[in-house]
This record gives sequence, C-alpha cells and structure tokens, in this order.
Amino acid sequence: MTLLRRFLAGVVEFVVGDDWILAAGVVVTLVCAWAVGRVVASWWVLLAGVAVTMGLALRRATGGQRP
Amino acid sequence: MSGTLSCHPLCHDCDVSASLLVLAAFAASLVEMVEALTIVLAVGVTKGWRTALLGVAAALAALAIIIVGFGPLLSKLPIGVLRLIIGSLLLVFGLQWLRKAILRASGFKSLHDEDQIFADEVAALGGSTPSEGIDGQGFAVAFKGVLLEGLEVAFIVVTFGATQHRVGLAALGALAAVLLVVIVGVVVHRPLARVPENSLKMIVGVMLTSFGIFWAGEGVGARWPGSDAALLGIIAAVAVSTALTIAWLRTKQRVTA
Repeated sequence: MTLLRRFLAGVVEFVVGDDWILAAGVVVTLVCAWAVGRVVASWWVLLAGVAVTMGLALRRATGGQRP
Repeated sequence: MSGTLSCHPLCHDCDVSASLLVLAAFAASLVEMVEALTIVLAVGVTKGWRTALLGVAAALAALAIIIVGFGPLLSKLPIGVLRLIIGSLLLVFGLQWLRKAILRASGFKSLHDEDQIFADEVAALGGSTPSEGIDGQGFAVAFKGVLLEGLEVAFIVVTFGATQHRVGLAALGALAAVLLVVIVGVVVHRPLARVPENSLKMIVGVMLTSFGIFWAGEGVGARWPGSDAALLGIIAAVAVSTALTIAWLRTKQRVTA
C-alpha cells in the first residue's frame, strides 16, 4: 500500500511539476472548451485558456508583477 | 479530421509533423541528457566509472522497458481518448518547460549552470577518491539521475510517436541527441556548460504546448479553422506570445531593479 501510494504520489508530482496552477488551468480550459463547443466553435477557448493559465503561473512566479 | 488516415491519425501534413517530431524529440533529449551527463560525470569522478556506468545501464534498461511497454499500449487506445490524454499531458509538460524558459530568459530565474551543478554533486557525494568496487550511493545517484532526466524524454518519444504512429522516428531523434551528448561528453570529459539549454527548452516548450493545444482541443471536440494547418498558426502564436512575454518581463525586471 505504501509502495502504491508512493508510486501514485510520484506520478502526480511528475505530471503536476513545480506549479499546480498549470495543471489546474489545463483541466479548467479543457472543460470550458468542451462546454462552449456544445454551443459554438470552441477553438479560441483553448488559446485564451492557455494564455490566462500561463499568465497566472508567471504572475505567481514573479511575485505578483503582471506579466 | 478523421482518424482513418493512412499516414497517421492526428495530422495530414506528414512531412511537417515528421520534422517537428524529430526536432522536438532531439531538442528535449539534448537538454535532459546534458543534465544527466553532469550527474554521471560527478559520480564517475568521485565514486569510480564502473559505478557510474552501471547506474547508467540500469536506468537505460528501465527506460527501455517503459518505452517498449507503454508505446504499443497507447497505440491501442481509441483515437479520441488518445488525443485528449496525450494532448492534455503534452500541454501540461509544455507549459512547465515554457514557464521555466520564460523565467530564465527574463532574468527571474538563474540560468542553468552545469559547472555549478557538477560541483554541487561532487560535494554532495563527499568528494572521496574513486574505489575499485561498486559504490551503492554512487550507483543510486547515477541511476536516479539518468532515469528521472530520461523519463520526460521517454514520455515525449512515446506520446509523440504513438499519436503519429511513428515511435521509431521519435526514438531516432532522441537517440541522435543521446549519442551526441555521450560523444561530446567522452571527448571533453567535463560538464557541457556551453549548450544553449534555455533556448532549446524554449523551443521544446513551444512545440509541446502547441501540439498539446491542438490535440487536446480535438480531444474535447474543438474544430480548428483550416484543419491541420492550424497547428502552424498555433506554433506561431505560442512563439510570438512567448517572445512578447519575455520582453515584457525584462522591462518589469529592469523597472523593479
């Protein structure tokens, strides 16, 4: 059990990396794109979502200075 | 876009995607292998080359098992699921690479200094004289270093290759980088501090992010204007916005300094 937990923790660490905002932002972006895509074209949601996600991650990394 | 193309299921433009595939695998491997070489050199110098090379061999065997095991497994997944999973993972990895590269290029994070990392590793290993036998600590450090640095490369090779049904081509790009680093490492016998690591990391970050946006988008049902040609537009948009962000952050850095 401990080995499995360690393995899962390792996988999460490998995927999430240094900044959880990036992983969370990707999930939110994809969910929004899927939802918007049921009504109108949603390709722009992906570009906007990635831009916002990176902006938030950089803002956090640079101590609140807006990128 | 259908998943029944004779070339590969995700992209019509085979030549462009094949070139990008090899380039991404090559650049990613080059960066990670330079880091791995630094660790191996530190182990070799302090704990002996037999220990270092055994650690490298064990890590390469583990990586080979991962590639051989997961490559065919991914190819068997339904195309929609494959696009979503791989696109999402590439996007997360790409953004991580890009974030670090932007922070380094704009001066918010120090550039990778392989000489310093080498000195730190030697100090951490105790700086003892190399022994004839196998040193457990040295073996573990070499194994872990090569395995961890190689894991991202293995992931890129497997996912890029599997989604385009070209694992061999991606592996070729990675192998070329590994051979280059090993040959240069053997010749110069010291950490490769002059490799433009941040630039390579930025290129890989732009490519992974762009492919991730494209594939993950298709995975959630988005239809790209211009179909596969949109990929080139996405790459251009990501590259330009990265350059603008770096310029903006450099200005901010100068103002606050």
